[in-house]
Amino acid sequence: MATDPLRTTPPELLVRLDAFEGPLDLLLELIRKHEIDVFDIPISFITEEYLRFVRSVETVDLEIGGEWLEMAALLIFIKSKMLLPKEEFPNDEDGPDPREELVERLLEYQRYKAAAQGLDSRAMLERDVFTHPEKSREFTSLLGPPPIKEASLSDLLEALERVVARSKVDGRWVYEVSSQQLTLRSVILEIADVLTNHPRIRFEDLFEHGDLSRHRIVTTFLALLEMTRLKMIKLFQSRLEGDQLWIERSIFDIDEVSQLLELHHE
Amino acid sequence: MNEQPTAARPTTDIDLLKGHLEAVFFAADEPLARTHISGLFPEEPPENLERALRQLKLDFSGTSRGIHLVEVAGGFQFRTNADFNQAVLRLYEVRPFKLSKAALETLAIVAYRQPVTRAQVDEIRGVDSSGMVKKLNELELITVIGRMDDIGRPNLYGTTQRFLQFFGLKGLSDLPTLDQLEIDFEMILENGSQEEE
Repeated sequence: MATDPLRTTPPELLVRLDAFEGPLDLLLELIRKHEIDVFDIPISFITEEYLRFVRSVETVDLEIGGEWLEMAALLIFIKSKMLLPKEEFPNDEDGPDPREELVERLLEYQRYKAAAQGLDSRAMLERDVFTHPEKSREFTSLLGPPPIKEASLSDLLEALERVVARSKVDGRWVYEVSSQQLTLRSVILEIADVLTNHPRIRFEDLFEHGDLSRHRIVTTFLALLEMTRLKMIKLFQSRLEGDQLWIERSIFDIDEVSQLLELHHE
Repeated sequence: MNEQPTAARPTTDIDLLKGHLEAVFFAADEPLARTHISGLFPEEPPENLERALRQLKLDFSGTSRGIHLVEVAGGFQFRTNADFNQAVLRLYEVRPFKLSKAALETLAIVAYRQPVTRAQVDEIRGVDSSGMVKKLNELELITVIGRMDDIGRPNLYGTTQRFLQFFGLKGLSDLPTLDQLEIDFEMILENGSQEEE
């Protein structure tokens, strides 16, 4: 064995470490590239190549997972065992090969890699084949619009602050006496109504109609909290458009739910 | 009864039955099992149903048909022809759903080794798989099917019905065996040994 073990890893292999699923994946790739017999791995060569690869990533100053170092340690351990004189084993050739366990792991991993490729090559739902769209909502829900981050309470408070800032004139609240009875329920129904026609709206859209009284802002805020709690809506923070807060209906027929809410209260 | 002279040969019972089945498959939201189908047509002799199913499957097959009748997850279902996926994706205006390599590996291990613990998956992959297991669980492609009788009683995972639907498998036995897959690897081995004189 070890006919020409000093060939170095071809440059196309020197890519990012995360191109590999793990140390076993990298080892298999090294074995494949160098056309090595998996049952007779030139361990010092492969150790060297492995370490070279991992080091090249280290110099780019990336964090390396513990499993990569663990494999490095295992390779070095096997290598050192191989260097031990064989006299300990009286039957010469029958001594356990220190590489055996690693080879078995590589073979097993390779099998499941092939199995994974096998799955990937099948006609996959929502990628290659589709069923009746109305009937497979649970599948089509996997698609949807590009994902945005779910909003936290602090995102909501920030959005609230922006609206409050807008509502103040010269930094003061505008005090007004309104005859309009604004209840939590009526605001929830109002929001639900908007969401019936627009599945996703901006937080600011709720304050477009000019009524920016403190009472209105606070009630709207509470309504959103309550609707989130009832799982009628989801609050999202857009990744692309700064700190834009989005409100998205999370149930199909929000109108129906608001009607239930009405019945419940009356 | 007066038959219309110009009418073509009246449809046979089988043709009529095929029409019924076609309607049912179109309206169904899940693959329909044989038992379910025969329950819908209790007066129909089983051999007629079987013949109609076979013919319908033949009708809805082939490269030029947009819809195929496929056997999946223990039932029959209408699915679009995979060759035309780009057209459907354009219709939906979305990118296709994709599973990462890591997710597919984890899924393959669960599929072939079930019931299996997360630790066993980690061991085979040589990396931590908790994120992948969680994701596949959320996608309902795998699920907890029991607890291992061991320290900590870890969850045992297995694949779901949805897994079968997702990959268009009739059942788990429809997966190629690991031995079959090993043949692929034999080829790699042979390439390796060619190196030696």
